[in-house]
Amino acid sequence: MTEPRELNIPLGPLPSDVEDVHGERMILQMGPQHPATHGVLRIELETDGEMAVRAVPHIGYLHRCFEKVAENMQWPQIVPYTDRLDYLGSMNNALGYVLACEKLFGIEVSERVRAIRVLAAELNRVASHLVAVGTYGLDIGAWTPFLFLFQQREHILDLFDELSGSRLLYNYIWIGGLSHDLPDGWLKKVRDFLVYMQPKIPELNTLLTYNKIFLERTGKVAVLPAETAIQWGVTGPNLRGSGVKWDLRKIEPYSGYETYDFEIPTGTGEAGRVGDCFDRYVVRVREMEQSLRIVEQAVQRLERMPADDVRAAIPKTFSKVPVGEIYFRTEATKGELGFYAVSDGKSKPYRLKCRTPSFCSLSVLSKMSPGLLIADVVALVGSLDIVLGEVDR
Amino acid sequence: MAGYFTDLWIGVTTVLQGMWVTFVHLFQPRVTVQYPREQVPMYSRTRATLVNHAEICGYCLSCKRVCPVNIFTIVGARAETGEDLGLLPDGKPKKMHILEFKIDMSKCVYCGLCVDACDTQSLRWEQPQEKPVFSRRELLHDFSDMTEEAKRRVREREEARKAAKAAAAKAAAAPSTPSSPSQS
Amino acid sequence: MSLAPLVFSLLFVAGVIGYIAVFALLAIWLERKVSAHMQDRLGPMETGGWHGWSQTLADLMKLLLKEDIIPTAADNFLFRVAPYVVFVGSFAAWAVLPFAANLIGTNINIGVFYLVAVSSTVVIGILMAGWASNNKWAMYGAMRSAAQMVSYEIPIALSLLVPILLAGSLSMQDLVKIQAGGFWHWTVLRNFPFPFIAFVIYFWASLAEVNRTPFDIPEAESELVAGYHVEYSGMRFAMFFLSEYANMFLVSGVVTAVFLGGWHAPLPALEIAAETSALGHAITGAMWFSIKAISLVLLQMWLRWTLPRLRVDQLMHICWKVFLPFSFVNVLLVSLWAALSR
Repeated sequence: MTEPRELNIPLGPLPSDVEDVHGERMILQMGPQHPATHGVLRIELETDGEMAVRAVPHIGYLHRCFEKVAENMQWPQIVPYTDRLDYLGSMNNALGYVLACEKLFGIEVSERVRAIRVLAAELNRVASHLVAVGTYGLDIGAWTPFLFLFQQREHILDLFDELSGSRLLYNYIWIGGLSHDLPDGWLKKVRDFLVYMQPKIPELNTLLTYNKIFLERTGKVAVLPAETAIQWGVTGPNLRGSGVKWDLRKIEPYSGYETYDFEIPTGTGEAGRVGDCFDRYVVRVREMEQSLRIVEQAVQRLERMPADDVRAAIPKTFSKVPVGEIYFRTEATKGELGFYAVSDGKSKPYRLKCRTPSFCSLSVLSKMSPGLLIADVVALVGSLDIVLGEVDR
Repeated sequence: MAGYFTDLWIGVTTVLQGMWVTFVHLFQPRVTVQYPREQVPMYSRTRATLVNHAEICGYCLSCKRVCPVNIFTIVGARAETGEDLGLLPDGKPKKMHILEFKIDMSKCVYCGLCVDACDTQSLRWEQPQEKPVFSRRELLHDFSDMTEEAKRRVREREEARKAAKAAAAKAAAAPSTPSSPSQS
Repeated sequence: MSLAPLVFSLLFVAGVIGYIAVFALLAIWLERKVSAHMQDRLGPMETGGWHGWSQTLADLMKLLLKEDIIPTAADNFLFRVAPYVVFVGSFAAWAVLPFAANLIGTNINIGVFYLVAVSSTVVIGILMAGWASNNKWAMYGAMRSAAQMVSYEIPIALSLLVPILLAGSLSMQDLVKIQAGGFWHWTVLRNFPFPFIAFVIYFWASLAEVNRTPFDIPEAESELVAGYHVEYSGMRFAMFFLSEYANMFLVSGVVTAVFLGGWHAPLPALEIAAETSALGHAITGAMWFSIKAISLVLLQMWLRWTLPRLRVDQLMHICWKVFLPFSFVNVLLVSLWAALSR
């Protein structure tokens, strides 16, 4: 067991501030209301001119006591709450929780249900990355790609509206199955969407990704070494941007992911250094392409599978469930999403802990900020792609 | 030195390419839907607003039990024998008056667990009437289908029945000694 | 002292204010429409009926009716005066814009020099706004803007030297007059490629002067929320906005006058000379001038909606390490050419 390491982050005013009344350092609040902080996040920034010397993120503005509420809700009632963790990738959150429960309770679902779940999760991943990439362009100053990407996302949201009844918070993936079966003609619409989306990512690359100004703004900026990322628990596209080929869909496959053919993009230092902002960004763009591949394969399978009852394996009652505890992790849109559930046999969990990827991604901000210009801090926060719903729960 | 000029060249070419993309988009059709002149498509599953059809509501209270945020306030009263309230969709006679069926839409999280739990399908998602409201009180919808007169009658009947039951329970609890407590 | 020049000057001032107002209304509407169509949207559609043409008027009314908020700890006098300093900085330079041969505020023989000097006073106003707001973010925007505008004065001046060398005069009307005869005589196409390079450098450097993307770091909306004018609301904010658009037209007007033929028509056949009909010439000259300048404004808008923003140090790098060497070498080569061809 290694000894706990001394953290070198000054968490209060530096001694020099007290004596140095007329010093050059300024303490700025990139406050809870700020266009670039992706939600209600307060970053206390101490700057020396344009250069940030220290950045301390203050969170909790979106804390909604998810874990405590979960102790008072029955197992299936928690699914709408999991939707609201990473509200941009709800299908993935619900999938993580539901798979944890299914493993704990020993429930098996049919292959068709698994395929539909993968389809929904991957479409949701595309939607989430569209937001991440679009708002990142906005942080850097490019207005137009944001609108293009959001229009593409509208199509996905319409698909989900038809499938589950809601555009953003679906409550679709249930313990033991799904809430509804696929509507008629839906798979055809998904195919049409895939065709529509074909030229869009190359267009994004022309407009934003390989634009020299964008490359200058994000290349070699805020490099996250692989070693640091692993030590701080960073997962997902942030970790893959640092060159580490780690994706839970390949390492610990769930819901049938081992049967799909897709690649794991990693950062290769295209814009200068491996693990810079550009790498994290480009990993997301490439992941969108790979997710669309998975969606295509899932659609092909579902077209050939005979219809079945997606609610067949849902237990009639949750009032007596097996006792036990489980930690189950999935590759959500932002990284490793883990649910640690403790069941004492009753209809409500004894304890439900949620390990979210954005929390760890955000924590690395204080490590990487010293030495960055303010504009780079904004670029860094955007490249980490945090969602405060996940950070605060 | 060569890097300087290649950077410059890349800068110029990528700027021009970007400008070409936006220029092309200038002539593409718009994606805006000019609501309310044009309508946005809504699907049959869309969770727009909750509506309960009380005439086929069986008062099973499944919706209330399953709601994660407790938005239902349901008060019912048993029908008298001989009173005909109609039939439920599965053929059985409706046995309960629905005095109150309040849904607080300001608290609803639109999860749909209640609609799924309803076994007579009286509680449904329906397209909104497109009426924004000015106060939160107006978001508290009451779906009881009884007239005020009917509700009053049923409530009075319930009160009377409860009073009679309470009196009977009290009489049964105390030992029946009709004589005076103290006999000197 | 005769009254006629004074009356003419006053009329011209009124005319320019009117022109700026109408142009700003048009340009803001155009910006919203252009940006919308580039982004597959529609832009204003409701106000006024046809494609929301009176949207800007409606916004102006709204801004006029807004509460006048001055932060408590703000430097009152500087806060109030700053928008007007910024406006005056660009408004005063309009005096030397040659709308037509007989339509110019004042045809001083150091027109270009005056232009560059006066338009750089805008920096003072911006610094005042940033400082007086008592807001650290505004201060950032102001400092960045000061650094940016002061640095980019140099490539601007150097690239303006090229047409001056070719015309042999600093007067704006002289710079336009040498471009008579059709678009092949325009400075941008003479002695190719040097004035063309000067044109490109001047255009990009003027984007930095006007704080437009990709040089809009002072107003970087996603970082600084609105940079130096974050604390301004209502009419004061409208003043900043107005001065930005006035400045945009100013620099486009300078490019037009100096490089793109000014008030000359593209083909000699379409030209009405000042001698034939004074009024006709004034109107057509101003029309050609405006068309060219507005096209350049459209180009500025196109760039804004396409490109991301440069970081402050990259901006400085481009100024000092790219524009400056290129414009310097450009001036040297043009002087050499002019000397050799004499």
